Amino acid sequence: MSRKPIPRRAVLQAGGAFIALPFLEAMLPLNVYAQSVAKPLRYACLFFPHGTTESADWDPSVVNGVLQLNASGMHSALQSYRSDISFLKHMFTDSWALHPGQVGTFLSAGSGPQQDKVQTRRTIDQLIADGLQDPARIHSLTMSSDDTSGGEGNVSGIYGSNISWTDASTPSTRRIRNSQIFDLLFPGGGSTTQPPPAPSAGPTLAQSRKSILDFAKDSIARTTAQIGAGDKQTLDQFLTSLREVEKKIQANPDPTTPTPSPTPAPSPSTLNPPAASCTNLASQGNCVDYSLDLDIKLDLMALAFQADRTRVATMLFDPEPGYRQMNFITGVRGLNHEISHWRTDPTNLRPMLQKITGFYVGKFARLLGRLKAMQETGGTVLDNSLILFGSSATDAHNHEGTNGAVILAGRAGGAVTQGAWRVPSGRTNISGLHLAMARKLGVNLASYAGNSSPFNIG
Amino acid sequence: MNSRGLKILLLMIGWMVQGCGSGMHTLPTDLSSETGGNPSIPLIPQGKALYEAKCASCHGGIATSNKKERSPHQITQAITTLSAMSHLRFLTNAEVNSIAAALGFDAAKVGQCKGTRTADTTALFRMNKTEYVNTVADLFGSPASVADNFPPDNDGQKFANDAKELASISIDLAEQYLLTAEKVVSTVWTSNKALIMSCDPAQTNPSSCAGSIIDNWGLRILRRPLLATERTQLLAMVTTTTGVGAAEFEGGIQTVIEALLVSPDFLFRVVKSSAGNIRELDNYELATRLSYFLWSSTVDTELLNVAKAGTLKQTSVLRAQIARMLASPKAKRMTAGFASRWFGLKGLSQRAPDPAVYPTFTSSLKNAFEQETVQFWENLVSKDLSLKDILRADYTFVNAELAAHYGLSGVTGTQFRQVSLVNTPRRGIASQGSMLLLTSHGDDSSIVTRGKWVMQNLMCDPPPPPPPNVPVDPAAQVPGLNKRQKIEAHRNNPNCFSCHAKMDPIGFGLENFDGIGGYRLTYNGGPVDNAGQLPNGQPFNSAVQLVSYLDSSGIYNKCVAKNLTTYALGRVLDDQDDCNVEDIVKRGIDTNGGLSSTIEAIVTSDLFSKVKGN
Repeated sequence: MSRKPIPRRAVLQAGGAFIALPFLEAMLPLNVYAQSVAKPLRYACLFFPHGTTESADWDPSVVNGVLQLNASGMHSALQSYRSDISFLKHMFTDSWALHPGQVGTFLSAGSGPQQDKVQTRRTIDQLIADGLQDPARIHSLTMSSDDTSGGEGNVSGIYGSNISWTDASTPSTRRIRNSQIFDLLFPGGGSTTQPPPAPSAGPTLAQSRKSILDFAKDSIARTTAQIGAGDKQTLDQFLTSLREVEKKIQANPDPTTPTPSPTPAPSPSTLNPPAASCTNLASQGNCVDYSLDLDIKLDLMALAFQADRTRVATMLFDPEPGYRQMNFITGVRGLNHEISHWRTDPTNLRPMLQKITGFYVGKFARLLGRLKAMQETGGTVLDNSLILFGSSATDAHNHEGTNGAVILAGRAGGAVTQGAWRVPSGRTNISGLHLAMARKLGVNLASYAGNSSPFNIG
Repeated sequence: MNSRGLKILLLMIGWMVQGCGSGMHTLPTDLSSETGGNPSIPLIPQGKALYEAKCASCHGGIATSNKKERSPHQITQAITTLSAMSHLRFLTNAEVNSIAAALGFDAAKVGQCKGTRTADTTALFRMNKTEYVNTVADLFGSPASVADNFPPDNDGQKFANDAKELASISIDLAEQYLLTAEKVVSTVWTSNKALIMSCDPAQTNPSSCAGSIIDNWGLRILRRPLLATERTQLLAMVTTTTGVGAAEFEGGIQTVIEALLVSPDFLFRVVKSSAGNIRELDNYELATRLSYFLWSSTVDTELLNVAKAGTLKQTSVLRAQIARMLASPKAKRMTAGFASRWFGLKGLSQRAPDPAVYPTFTSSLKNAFEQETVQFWENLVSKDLSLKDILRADYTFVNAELAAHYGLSGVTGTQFRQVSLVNTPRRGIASQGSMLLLTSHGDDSSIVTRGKWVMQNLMCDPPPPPPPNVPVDPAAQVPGLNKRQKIEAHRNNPNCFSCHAKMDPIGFGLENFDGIGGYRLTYNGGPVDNAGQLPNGQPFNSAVQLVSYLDSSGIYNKCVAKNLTTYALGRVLDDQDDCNVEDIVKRGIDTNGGLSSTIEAIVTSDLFSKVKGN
């Protein structure tokens, strides 16, 4: 089977919101990527900031065995996916009721935050990625909006800007620019990261890069001898990263004839123009239209799953505290964080916060729609996935960290039954949910965050 | 509650607690002194028992505790932010206060500085993306777009140059460093090859030609002379046989430049050090540190020459260099790196006041707010004015639109110019439109946010975040309450009292400024309720009085010194830096000198000029 791949720029310029599914499939070079493994399982987490109004507006019910969405209407976009999802109550993250913590503890199950210090743990998405890993695929994909957290009190904003962590002090690299995400997933489509043309004489590109990396490694050794032992680990990490870059280069030693770019390289002046339209920006960076930017990123996630380019992806819709102006939603006026403290003016702010939650639920539903329409061995891509959607607090005003707003979608290839409203008897550390998700995906962790009892997710 | 009732309540609680520390356990320190004695003393036995029960397992018995003399403020800070202390979250104010008393905390010592460092603690500073872009622009004229593909830096601290948060280099970033080095070199080769190719291997000995290029660019890129081993390695990358073709020779030189740009000694500013030992920065290290402080970029030829001469630590030379650097256009990079982050100007872009309430507000007025603050700061830098001007200046910069908004006459056109604020209610940063808009809701000023902003930015005493799961206050929801009644109803909730008792009265004193920074005398048909209270308990009702208090109390001076030192050092300060900061205040701000005198005090302090290795 051979299809002509469609260039990235055509896709991104069209704008993810307007891509019909047949178009999505047409752009995949399926002969290269898709026919690899029967029934690959995938994991995703979508995090929305601050939380929502309160349980009375959020909690679903079950009538005659059928999940009924809350009458508030916040979840109306999920109406046709009720059999694909379950709601989970009382999920507890020890976020310290601080905004940065509410992000940083969601996938680390309550480790952190620390004052004046970065200390968390390798997050569950990374551990699941380790288990689902295949050298031919991208380990995991960490995406976020372009905003960052300014921290709170003496707690660094680094917690509030990252849900995925590779180790106790290092966030997984957030990917923001859609063009780069596309190039990572589907190399050869007019990359912005193409190597320069090989010099006409002198060292080849491969020779030159070997010299550069050798010099860097020798310099690390020399400089390490000039600093204290406690500072050495910083340079050790640089060395480790350089070795990975070296491996990557050696796998493709001398790309002197790079794949021809489908469109001419942009001039530097068109890179990320600050006030350009979304169409222009989407071709090179992230998109100033927030809603459209999220659509594009979630479409890229769906594409990556369908093409089996990666099996683990996370998306941080916005950091905490997040001061995005939400006026683009009809009926909403003001900054996200201010509206989230809705109890200061319930009459006006409660409906606004419900609309904001509805906006994020809509993005989640949109992804579910994409994945459900993608047929593959063993059902749809959604059937072969587990998608965690949520926030650390249901009541945003009170930073209700003992009761996260959490929805789980997908069947992990048939291992999970959906359409439920799962209510444990009291606060339940979210580590049990993480552990259960890992095991359902076939990643048999003995425990996570000190917890060896998986939460029953059906 | 009327203000007399509030004062009585304050006095009552003053018996139990000292110092605003958290949402649950706080009060202004000075109020407790009105009780006429040290209220902690009767609590010591209770505090000892509590300490042994709750604290000793981690911090040791009380006699040998590593937390001696911790204040209630510090203890509550720790409880509210450290996970490991989460189980102590429900200690009462009085209990925390008693533990502090048992640990030997003495309110009488408050005001004395807490600790001194003999050297800084950081040896490796990775350039952030902005510093990288500035650096390759200054070295090669590269456009900012060369670093577009860099993954985002971790910049969760007050300033974006925190060395700890920047330390890690991911695989993606390492790859970008390599690809970007290649991009920088190929761009300079297309546009300005002669910048690097300062000799012709066909005309001179290829080996000495390569050597001179390597020495020159090695020095400029690594900000120090090359080591012999580095030089040998770099030279080996170039074909230097007699008669070598130009393209082959240049290909090798390109590799050399790229190698220098991927070197850890370029990407990190390295301060040579060994664990536990104090070492004074050498001239090259000091020049580099100074350059990234004032220019967010690499050293220029003159700084390298001074470093080579070894004279940078001479007072007259250092002074001349600081003055030269502040006068350079490159000093404008401090606007984004320091001033804009300090004041939080980034937040302006998302502000959109409600047009139903503020029909005259325009985006051009919002731009003017930002321009006012930027021009005010850049004027202070270029004219070397005192940092006190930020607090108390009786002048600002306006165009016609902003002048009209402020009720100032005689300004026309879109150009900004300096105007006097004498005989107006405005003084300094706290009454600029940018700050007033940032501390407002869409439809009105925010008393709480303004109080918090002043405490955080001008007093360096940020109130902690609110405690979790505060029950909704029915008292605050009663219809028909006015602004003060609503705020007092919330404040009287014991969970909220301690910090709001300090924040809210400051915010009230700024109530004559509306939600878009306009001046108002009436509110909802009546006079503006602007009855505020300073942290020392004195009433006030204007920005002028607030400024006067923050100025004469010395609170602002210490705060601004702390902010600038934090930025200069690229790390969060702690109690151990406290006396050093006070020394910087004495030498740099109390002398009434300009910005340069504070910078000189920082640069010559042990914090900046020495390092103790880790």
